[in-house]
This record gives sequence, C-alpha cells and structure tokens, in this order.
Amino acid sequence: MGIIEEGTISGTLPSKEAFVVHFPGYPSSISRAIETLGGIQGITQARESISNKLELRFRPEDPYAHPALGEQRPCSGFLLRISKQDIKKPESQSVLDTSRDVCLEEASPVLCADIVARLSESFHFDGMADYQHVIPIHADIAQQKKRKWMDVDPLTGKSDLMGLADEDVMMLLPQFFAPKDIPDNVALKPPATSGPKKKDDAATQNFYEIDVGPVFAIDFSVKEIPKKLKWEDFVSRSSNHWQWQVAVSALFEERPIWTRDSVVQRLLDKGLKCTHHMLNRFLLRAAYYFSSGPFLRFWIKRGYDPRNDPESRVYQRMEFRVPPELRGYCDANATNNSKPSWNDICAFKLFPFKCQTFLQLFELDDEYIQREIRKPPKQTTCSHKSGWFSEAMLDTLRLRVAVRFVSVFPETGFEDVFKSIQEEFERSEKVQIQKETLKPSLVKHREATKGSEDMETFKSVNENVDANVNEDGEDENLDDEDEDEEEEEELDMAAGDNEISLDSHGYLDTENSSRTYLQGLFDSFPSSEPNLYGDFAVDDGSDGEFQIYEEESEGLYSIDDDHNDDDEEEDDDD
Amino acid sequence: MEEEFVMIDLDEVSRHIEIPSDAPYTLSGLDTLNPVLTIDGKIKLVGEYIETIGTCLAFSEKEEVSASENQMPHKKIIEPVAKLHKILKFRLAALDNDDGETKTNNL
Repeated sequence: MGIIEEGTISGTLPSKEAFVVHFPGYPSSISRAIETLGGIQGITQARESISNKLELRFRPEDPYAHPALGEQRPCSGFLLRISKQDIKKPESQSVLDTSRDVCLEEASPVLCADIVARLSESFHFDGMADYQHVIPIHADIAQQKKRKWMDVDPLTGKSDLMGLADEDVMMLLPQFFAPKDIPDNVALKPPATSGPKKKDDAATQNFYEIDVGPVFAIDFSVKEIPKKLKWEDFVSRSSNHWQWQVAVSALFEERPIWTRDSVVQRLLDKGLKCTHHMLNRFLLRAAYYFSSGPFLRFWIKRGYDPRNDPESRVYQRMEFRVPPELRGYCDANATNNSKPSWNDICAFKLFPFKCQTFLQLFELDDEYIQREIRKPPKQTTCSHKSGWFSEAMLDTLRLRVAVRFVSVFPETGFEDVFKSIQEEFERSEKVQIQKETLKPSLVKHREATKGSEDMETFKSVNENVDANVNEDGEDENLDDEDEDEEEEEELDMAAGDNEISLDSHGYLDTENSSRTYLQGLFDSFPSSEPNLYGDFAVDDGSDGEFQIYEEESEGLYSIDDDHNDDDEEEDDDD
Repeated sequence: MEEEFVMIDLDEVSRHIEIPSDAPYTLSGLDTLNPVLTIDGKIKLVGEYIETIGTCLAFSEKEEVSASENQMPHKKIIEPVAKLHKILKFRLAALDNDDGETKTNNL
C-alpha cells in the first residue's frame, strides 16, 4: 500500500484480474445488486456460458419480471483503491520528541492509494429497460421485503392487498412493453430494378409542379385556358409512354373535346391499356377540363377554348337519369363488374347500369339529335347553364335520349314509362318546331329582301300537320301587312283637306285600336302555345284554327273600312 | 479503515499501445483534477474524472485449488470487491518529449 506523498504514488501493475458490471441502476447494496443479477451462481454461469449474456431482473421476487440482458465485452483498465489510515511508527517516534510534534502528527491521518487489480472484461446493458406493468400485489410484496430488510414496520394500510393475495386473486399475465430486447437499425432498401423508374417519376413530378399549371377542374369563368404543351420534350421516344402519349394526343387532333370513357374505349380499340393514374398523366399533357358548365369534366384540347367557338356546341354534355320506376335495374346491377361497351351505350343498344350517365352529344347515334345539334347556332354566347343551346332545346334533346334508352330497357314493365316519356318528347318537339317557324317569320317581317331564303328554311323543316296550318297562318299575316300599307297611303291623301282631316282622325283611332289588338295577339302567340300543348294535346288543332278565324274577321273589318271611305267620298262630291 | 474505489479506464489508450504486465507505474497529481499516469517510465497518460451511468460493480475471480487436480477441473470463485461511481478516464498525453523535458528542467 503506497502512501500518497505530494499527490504521487508508485508501484507495480498487478497481475490479479477482475471484471466489472456496469449496473443500470442504483442498488441499495451490493448484495441486492447481486440478487438482481441472479446471485453469484448466475454471474458465474454468465461468465462461463458461450453467449456471455447476463440477466438482470429489477424485481427478482416477481415471476413475470422480464429480464434485461447484459453483454460481455473486453476492456482495458485497472481498479484503483484509495484508503485512509493512521501510521503507528510516526506516533512512536513522536513520543521521543516534544509534545507539540506528537499532537500534530496524530491529528493528520495518511491517505494511501494503490492499483489492486487489472480489469479485462465488463458487462454492458444496452438493451431495453423493463417497463413492464407492475401488479400491485407484487409491488407490495417487494416493498414488504425491503421494509423487513430496513427493519421498518409495514404500514397498516397495506394489509388490504395482503388480504387480497391470500384470497387467490386472479393473476393475469401482463403484456410486454416491447417485443424486442435490443434496438435494431432498420433501413428499407429500395429495389434496384425500380430505380430508374422512380427517377423518371420524380423528374416528371417536378416538371408537373413547375410548368404544367392548373389543368384539373378549372373554373368555367376563367379568362385564360391552359396553353399547348410541348410534351415531346420530356417523354423519350424509346419509352413505353411515347406510344400512349402519341395515341392520346392524336385523339385531340381528331376532335377537340372527349369524354374520358370514350378515350378509354378508343385506346382499348388500339390495344393500349393503362392504369387510371397513367391515363390521367397522358391526358393532362394534352388537355384540361372545367369544373362546371356545359363541358363539365370533359377533356378539352390544350389551347382550345370552347366558349369562343360556336362549333363546340356539338361536343356539349348531355346526361341521362334513369326514371325512378326503372331504378331497380340499376340497383340490381350495382355489383355487376362487367362494364357495358361505351360504343353500345352511345348507340342506344344497351341500357346503362348506372342511374346517371353523362354523354357527349357528338357521340350519340340518333338522327334527330345529330340533325338538331348541327343547325346554325342561335345564341351568340356560350352560357354556363346550357352552353350554345337554349334550355328548351337541351330539354328536348334530353327527352330524346331518355326515349331511346327506355326503349331498350331489358326487363318488362317499362311500357307505361316509355309512353309518358315519348309523349313528353313529342310535345317538347312540337313546341321547338313552333318556335323555329315563328322566329324566321319575325326575321322575314323585318327583312323582306330575304324572303326567298326564309322560304327555303321553311321547306327544310321536318313538317307535321300543325306546322302546315301555322305556315298558312303566316301567309295570311303577310296579306294583312300589305293592307296596312295601303291604308297609310290613303291617310296621307286625306290629310290635304282640313274639313276632311277631322273626319279621318276618327277613322285613325279605329285603325290604331285594331293594330294594337293584332300586335298583342301576335306577341302572346308564342308564350301561350306551350301551355296549350302541355295541357290538351287534342285541342292543339282547334286552338290553331280559332286563331286563324280571328285573323280572318280582322280582314273583313278592314273591308268595311274601305266601304265607309267610298261613301264619304261620294258625300263630298255632292 | 475507509476505502474508496475508482476505475481506471484505458480503453481509448489500449487501441494505440500495449500495456505491459508487472511494469512499474507512477501515479501523480492525485490531488488535482487531471492525474498523470506513467507506465514503465515511457507511457505518459493524462486522466479525467467521469461519473458512471448507474453503478459500476467490481468482482474478483480466484482459482479454486482442489486436492487432486487431475480429477476435477479448475473452478473460479467470484467475490464482490467494490461498488463505485467514479471513473478515471485516461488518454495519451499530447507530447511525451516536451513533458519529459519540462519535468527535467524543473528537477
């Protein structure tokens, strides 16, 4: 044992060996620590076993305690012991000296230090600590033992738990906090084969975010539409995407607006099949769509604005809603995975499985519809609600679609529904024809020079009996106009004489009232027609005839006026 | 007699040098925060005190000598030695020659 002189000791490194355990806690005593490590026997086994695992149970009394594992590793170190002790020799020597020296030496104890062992191995606990749920009884038992060891009487409050233990309380095995004892570093390795694809996707994604701009669900009232995109710059010709992208872009050169279902059908016809996500990518490079309006969710070619082109009316959207009486068929086929062909739907060969189907006017295989949508546009702007058509025209087309679909309903019991829709369509068609025949006549009334062209328009109309009657009415109306002109000339001549002018003033009033009546009758004619047709189909003809009769009586009244004029002239001559 | 144990940690040093056994050593500066350990008059190490995480338990191993060695294998007996909370971590001194020269000059 070396005495520390001026903070220095000397000695020889020992050959005696020892090992250390880095205990992850603060045991109350060495014996308690040894108990948690499985006792001397457990430590000895750990030292001798091949695995060198030392088990540590923080609660050795608990049979369910989950052990923490210590790992043995080589280390390099020494164990330094520092102690304090008194030296006898100095005391004996001091007796011979003066008493003062004796007091000083006795009062100062000596510090000794020495390296006593070489450390070659150590145990480290790197695993999970045991955070297992503790059953109160086990904790109480542990507490009891601690108290006994510390010579402290147990609290009286704890007796209840002990009583429970005596009564054989059910012991449920608690769950482990974590299934792993030692933490692992887990790294997910991306598969090597998909490396280049991921890179392409990333590049494409970046491109989309930067340059593509908004293409999904654009507002119908937006001022600028997406511009044309040079997609050839970022799709390599050698990749699979090139073929698809060429096919999709070619469709929009064929016509500027497509439904998604139709695009899918066309690609399938060419043998090209891709996922929903990939198709979206191909489409947005070539097209965009509105979130509302007459082209709702139709893919529109980039750079093309259907709101500025009246020709886009043929590509407008049409919808078919299954009548409530027939929706049982859709409910029955809700789980039907076999999707009907889009071409068959547009050709009215199959009844749709869905209660609501959106179609494009251009694709519908119906002579009436295709003829109607190709007539010259009557509106100068594309409205949000009905596009380039009037709402009445769209309603007529919608009824036509319903008639065609219901006629191919595959089950029985649709006859009544079919009849009602058919009748409604026929009424709507008559109203539409009525409007068409009236408006051209108005134009003719204003522009007499274009009479021949208007006549040609009349001839091209698909006529029925009512239409013929109406045309006759128009002819009579023209005659009335001629008579009105003659009357005006006569009035001018009569104005030359003062005495005669007073008399002619009375006649002028009569003529004004008759003209007002004609104009009122003429204006109210279009608005009253739909109501009449809607209410009584049978009375349509009689109502038309009634109108004609009144016009004839007007003519007769004019003739009477002429006679009166002749009489007055004779009186003046006398 | 009161005893206190300190673990001398040479893990960082053992990578570079080999510590011989039964060599003389001198431990100076025990009354300072950075004691100096000189081994065999050549190796000079500077120490630094560190607290343990938890508790460090030291155990000694002794060979049990049985009556007849031929019949039974040797058994080791483990005895606890100490419970300590201080580690003296040593590392190589910056420049051995300079320190030596300085010390020589002082002497």
